[in-house]
Amino acid sequence: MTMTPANNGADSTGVYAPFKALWHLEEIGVLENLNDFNSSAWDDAHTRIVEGNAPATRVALIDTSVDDEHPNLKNTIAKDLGVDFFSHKLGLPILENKGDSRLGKIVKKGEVDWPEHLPDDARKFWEDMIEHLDQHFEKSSPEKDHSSKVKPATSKNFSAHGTAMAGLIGAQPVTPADSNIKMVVNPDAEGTLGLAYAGVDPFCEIIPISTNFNPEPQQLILTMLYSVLVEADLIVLARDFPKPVSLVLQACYDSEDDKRQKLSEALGVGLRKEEMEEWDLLEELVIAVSTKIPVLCAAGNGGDDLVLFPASLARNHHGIIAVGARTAAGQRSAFTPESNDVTVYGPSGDGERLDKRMQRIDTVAVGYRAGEQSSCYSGKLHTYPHENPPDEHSFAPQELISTDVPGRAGYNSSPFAKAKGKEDKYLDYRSCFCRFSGTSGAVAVAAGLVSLAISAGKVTAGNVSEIREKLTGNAPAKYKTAEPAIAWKNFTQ
Amino acid sequence: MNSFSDTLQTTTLLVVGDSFELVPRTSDPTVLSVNVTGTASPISFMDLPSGGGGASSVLNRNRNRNRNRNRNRNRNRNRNRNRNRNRNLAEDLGADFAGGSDFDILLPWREIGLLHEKIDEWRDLPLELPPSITKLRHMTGELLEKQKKLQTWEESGRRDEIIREMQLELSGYLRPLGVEDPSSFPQTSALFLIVARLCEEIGLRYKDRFDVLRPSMANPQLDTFIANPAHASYPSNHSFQSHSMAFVFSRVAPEHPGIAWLFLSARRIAENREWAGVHYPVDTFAGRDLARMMTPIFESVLEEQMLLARAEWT
Repeated sequence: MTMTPANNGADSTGVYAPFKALWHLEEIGVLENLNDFNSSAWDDAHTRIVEGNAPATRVALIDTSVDDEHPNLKNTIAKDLGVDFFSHKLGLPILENKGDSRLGKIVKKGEVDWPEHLPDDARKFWEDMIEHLDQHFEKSSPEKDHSSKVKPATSKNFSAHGTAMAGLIGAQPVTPADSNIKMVVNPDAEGTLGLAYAGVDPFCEIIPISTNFNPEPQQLILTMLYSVLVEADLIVLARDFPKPVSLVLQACYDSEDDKRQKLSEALGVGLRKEEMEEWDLLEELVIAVSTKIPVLCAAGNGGDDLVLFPASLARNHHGIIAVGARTAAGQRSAFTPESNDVTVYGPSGDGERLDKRMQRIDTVAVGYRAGEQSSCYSGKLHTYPHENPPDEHSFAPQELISTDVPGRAGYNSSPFAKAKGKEDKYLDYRSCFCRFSGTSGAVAVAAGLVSLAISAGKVTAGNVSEIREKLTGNAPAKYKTAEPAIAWKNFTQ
Repeated sequence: MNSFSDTLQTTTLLVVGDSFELVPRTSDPTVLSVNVTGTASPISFMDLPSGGGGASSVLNRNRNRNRNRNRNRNRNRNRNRNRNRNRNLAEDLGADFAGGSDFDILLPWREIGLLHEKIDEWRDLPLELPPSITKLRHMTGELLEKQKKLQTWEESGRRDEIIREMQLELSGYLRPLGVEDPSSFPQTSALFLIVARLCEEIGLRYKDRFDVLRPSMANPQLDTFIANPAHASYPSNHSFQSHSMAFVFSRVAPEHPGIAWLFLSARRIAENREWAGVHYPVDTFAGRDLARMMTPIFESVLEEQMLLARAEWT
């Protein structure tokens, strides 16, 4: 066996050094190294949850739907608590009605108290949602039968984003015995391979809460209320809440009517008074919810000074946390917002940029032509890893790796329609995984870390200020150096 | 010791080029920590043993994202060419792409067939009943105001839009996504045409059931800007079609940064029909609600076309 030092290929060759999929777990200190995969964090979580029978940490994932049958996710996704707000305005449980399921029990009439810390105006939404969900678990009635003609919009083939998010947070490795990989093409590999991928907190349970992307506040209000209803320990939000005022740059309004008028003109639609009030209620609600449940939000991928709403609400006195991205080379990602409103940074991929503020280009990419770059900066460009220490000009091609919808759908499509063929044999296990990036990836890793800290008993669920302090290590935000970076050690000190 | 670390010790997942390899522990190659100085912690890179690792490298040759994408494109270029020789859907729908494009596809017979196989799932969706005629007549007050405002200089652009949107004006859906020429995103454009076609007949069924008078019939004081179409008012098919395209696309590529603007554009197209005096606001809402409830059916009936469209964006 010949071994040569791992390195990138020469410029423009497209040859990148292979790397281990779980690099980010070593980066944040959850795995001590990538040789024996020891983890004192997982050991502590094992002791508390598996041996000590503590309840699994509940992560509410407000995103697209999730492939809950993915081999690395099937034991992590809490299907019986999952809900879809895409197709029905008051939500649909993703499992067919079973009154004795956990959700069935939670919504049982008269047994749910209104959480007093939430704004009163949200109470009607809360009551309507519970009444509707309760009806779903009732026996047949003409109203229920008609209402249940609507099905959740949760087809697995269109669940790529949520599936990748869920994998980063809490995927569980599948043992060689359970994965039973029998390759059609390479039978030599039979029975020796596990699906060796893990999320940051494989002990947690993930509650998929799916939405559509219509900029309409009601479904977003309901996602927040639902997270409270199912007693989530944290909320993960990779999407924005497209509040009208967050979509336009104009900032001066004389009155509420003037604001509605101007925003209607800017967006080209007739915004109604009620929906403007609902958007304001949503903002109030997210903040109120976050005082008891941390809400981790992606900061955005624009590479400018704008932080997505509601990440832009992040402040020290509540639990909204804006998560930006830093690369494997330890630099801020090219796409992460240039703003000190970003609370904390998690590992993710990178992008290329060539402007006055940042010159960062993938020199190994096939399309790279050194001669086309100005000598003012071309000498500084390099692709990580490189013999020079990484700096602002280092492009990092190492993206996050996560779980993907198997088969041709998802981010990593397969030449085969499904991962498995006849007799449960894998045609292509590779399509179970994908590259993933953006502040979506960073927020998923950060959420996994908070979840793991709760699972391992390092912080108390519900103690938002403690969680925030540990996650940031009490360090101030500096976007230029992408600090503070999330790290397990902050939870153990 | 936790069981997850144990499992990870048996196999390593490597990222190799554009794909992945599971490598059994027994043949685990040497880990080379590239310990560069500076702020970054080292990331473990690996060198594959010569002659290939544990898993198959046969499949790997097949696994180039771009190659797959091109293969799909080629296949579909042929499909489009074939379609052009035959009857044209865009022409039948009166579709217009604003750039004078002659993009067109064959009648989506397969999708129409699948839709009708599922007719029990969609013919009686719980759409709210329309308001009483008294209530509807009250709603024309808002339309009268819009009618007056439509004649002002500020709304001249909207007047042009209303006339253009009497046809199926697809640039209203493609532009928020950054697409000017439909042939540059043929599968997405084909998807929108197919959604429009399916919505047309679904919408007509619901209109026929409720048989609601057009606003100008409920209140003759209202002088419509364009002629009333020859079918009932509730729900608005413009709203149903345009919101369906947005809802379906938001399943196809929810990561697209133009999603919110696609929905806003769909909403404006629907609201323009209120400005024209041919729809009540409640028709617009009902069209949107029907589109939302239809999405689970569309994502099954249109799965093939949606996957082809997704390949254009990922």
